[in-house]
Amino acid sequence: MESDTTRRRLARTTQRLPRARWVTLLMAVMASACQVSTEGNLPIDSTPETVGIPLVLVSLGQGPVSSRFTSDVWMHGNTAYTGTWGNRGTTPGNAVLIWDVTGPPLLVDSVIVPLAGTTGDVQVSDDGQLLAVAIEPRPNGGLALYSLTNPRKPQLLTRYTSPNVANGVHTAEIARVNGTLYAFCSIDPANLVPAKLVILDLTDPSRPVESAVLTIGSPIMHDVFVRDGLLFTAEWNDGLGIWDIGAMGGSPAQPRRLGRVATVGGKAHNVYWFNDPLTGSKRYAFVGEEGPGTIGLASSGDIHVIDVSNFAAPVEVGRYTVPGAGVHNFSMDESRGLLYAAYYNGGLRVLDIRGDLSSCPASQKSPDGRCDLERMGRVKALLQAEPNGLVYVWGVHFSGGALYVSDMWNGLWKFSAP
Amino acid sequence: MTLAYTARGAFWLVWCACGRLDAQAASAADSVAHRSKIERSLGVMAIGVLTHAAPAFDGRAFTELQVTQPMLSIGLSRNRLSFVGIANAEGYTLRRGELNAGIYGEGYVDRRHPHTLVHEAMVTWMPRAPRDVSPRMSLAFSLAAGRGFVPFGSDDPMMRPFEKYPVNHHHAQILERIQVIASTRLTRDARSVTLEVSTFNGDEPAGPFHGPRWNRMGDSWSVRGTVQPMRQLELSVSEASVISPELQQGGAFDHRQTHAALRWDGAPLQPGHRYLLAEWARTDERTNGQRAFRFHSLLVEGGYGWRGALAAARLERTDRGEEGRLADPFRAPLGHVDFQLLGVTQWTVATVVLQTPPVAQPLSSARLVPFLELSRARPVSRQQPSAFEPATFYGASRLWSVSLGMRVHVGSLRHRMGRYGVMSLRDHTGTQHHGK
Repeated sequence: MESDTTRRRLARTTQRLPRARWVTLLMAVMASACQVSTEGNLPIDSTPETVGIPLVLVSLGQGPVSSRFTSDVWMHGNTAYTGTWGNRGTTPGNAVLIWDVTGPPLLVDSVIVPLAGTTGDVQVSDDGQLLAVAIEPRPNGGLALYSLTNPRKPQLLTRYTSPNVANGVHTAEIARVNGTLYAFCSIDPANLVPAKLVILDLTDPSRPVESAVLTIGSPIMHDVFVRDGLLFTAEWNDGLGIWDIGAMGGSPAQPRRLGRVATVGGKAHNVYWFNDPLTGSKRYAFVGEEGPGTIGLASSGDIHVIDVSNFAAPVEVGRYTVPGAGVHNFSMDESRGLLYAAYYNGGLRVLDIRGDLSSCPASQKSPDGRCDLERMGRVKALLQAEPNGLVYVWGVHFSGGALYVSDMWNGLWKFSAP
Repeated sequence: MTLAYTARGAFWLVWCACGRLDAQAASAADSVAHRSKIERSLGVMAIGVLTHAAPAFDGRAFTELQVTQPMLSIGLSRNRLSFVGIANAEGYTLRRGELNAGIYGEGYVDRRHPHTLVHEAMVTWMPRAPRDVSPRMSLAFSLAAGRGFVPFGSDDPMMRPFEKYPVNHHHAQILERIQVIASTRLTRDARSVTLEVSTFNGDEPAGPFHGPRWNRMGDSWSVRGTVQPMRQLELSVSEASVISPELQQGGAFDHRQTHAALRWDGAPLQPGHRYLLAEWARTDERTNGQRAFRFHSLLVEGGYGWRGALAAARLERTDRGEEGRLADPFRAPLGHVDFQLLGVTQWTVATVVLQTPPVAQPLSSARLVPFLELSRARPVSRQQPSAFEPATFYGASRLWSVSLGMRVHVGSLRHRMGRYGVMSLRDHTGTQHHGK
């Protein structure tokens, strides 16, 4: 009886799909008390000037999707691409949806990926010519590559599969290393088959070539971040790995491990290495932890701040925790030092990450001695569902001054960036 | 952690006690040993079953004819050593799994997975016959090693009156593990108290022809205490810590399992034979020592036999964590990719079976037994909202299954599986399956 009642209430909630579902909350960031301190070491970097300024996020519209669960989002100009995940009812996540986001998100087309059950990760290359789609599950795992000559009409170039990727490509990042485009595919483990990272050379995107296969991740190799010839790997319980793939003599064909750090609690899921264009600081990498959760309902996991000043000996120095919710994918506005973090049932968090995150007074530390970004007043804004609402935010992409937020339950949202 | 140390301590205590007792009795026993003969038992069984499941998935009814539980059972014993082995050929007859609404495990969902070819191969060593502590009380010890049933939970469903498995199979049994079991039993008249302690590999079989991950031997443990206040009645409590059962290379959720049962078993194959089992089980899925998910199961089943015929009924309510499915909707990835569930479904399943007396005995030791089994399952999401809505996925809120089949038994099969050493003292009778 109780569940029937709940179902009816949810049904009603879903019908009034809410322009106003998202409550824009102003985080009155407790600035001064948190920032001004004479205790402990002085910050190495200057105090961020943005701290303490109230931020407002305004909804610019929603593109509803109720037939499938929405997964990742990627932006290219005025076009957004969203993936799909798992079965919703009996409808598989075998589509990539194409949106016109000139105004509120408007669905303009879709691509069906045959034999796919999940198209969890989508990404457009830096030159805007290529759309990569990760395909799960086994035995049909692979990577689909589409030409974006017409961004609204992707044309399939190839669907790459091989014994090394057939277990399922969980995430795929495409990035340029010394001028050559590569795809970094994180491959699902299976019983007796360990997780892998498969690096594909996309010099000819219609004929990818496997450059390297790394057996890493315990038990999952989940995601990577590539920048300036360095590869950052989220290796789940093995933590964060740092590899030279071109910065110091290594290459994508022969990656050379520089260092690794086991993050607190493990489950390293994704990573972003912040290069601050204002200060030139490249000190911090941010690792998302994906703890246990129930899709659509509950999640867990912190953001871990890793000091990577010394690639050979990275050190975890900070964290950010949201009680009752867990972090998922990141996007950044580097020019303003803002980290946008999808938080599943917790919505979205905006964190100010400029400046020193490793030194803080005792009152701003977590019980295990790491700096706590919440206590440091680094939360700029948050988005969450209204009390009876239902969101499960998978990803976020900052582009053109706006935030594009993919929500497993509801589809694609557009917000004005703070 | 404390329980783990306690379990390991108890294991070594029993082990050492076995050694001491054996040393005392060695010379006397040896003099008897070489005069003893080898006792042998051999049995074959199989079930041919036609199952109609409506719906099985997406509103579609499936009808399938399958051979399930094809097994060859061997028993050998001489003096203080005995061996029991079962070769299970479901890997050949049941690769796609048996239609069985609600069941899950080893990568199968709503189809029961095939068991491994080497289903059981256990060697048991009993230092000597039960030692008299007093005129009415005796104490027995045993050590067992090999691949088989972990001392945890209740009897394997193969040994019970129903052909279809209960949903709680992986909550209430742990099987096909490489293990060492130390057991001790104190008996007074018809009453007894038994303690079994085991250490084993946590990983489930990866397939019907796969062996265990040998380097994981000893990463998991179980303890079972059994009290028999009278011959027919048995009360048991079990606890087990199973490391990463769903991913052989490790790193998936660990299971902490608890089980309690009450079992009544009147004299098998006697007129008016009555059987009853009531069990409760709980499985916690944990990571880094923290509980992530908790699942419960409650099951009651009973049967009444008369002149070879049998009527039995079962009612269970069991939680099942829902995972994403592979391209085959009856298969799931192992180990919860991303450590996420789609939801938790509570399965309420009622089953009845009617079995006639043997219709033919083509050989003196063979039996052919027809049966009809009917079940109704009602899956409901335990949490709302849920990314997995059973009524949408199955196309109905109630799932029916009708099975018509024939059991074939030849030779001698044990009354209960997974009872080694001191636990088989009363049960290793060479009688046929319970009610089958």
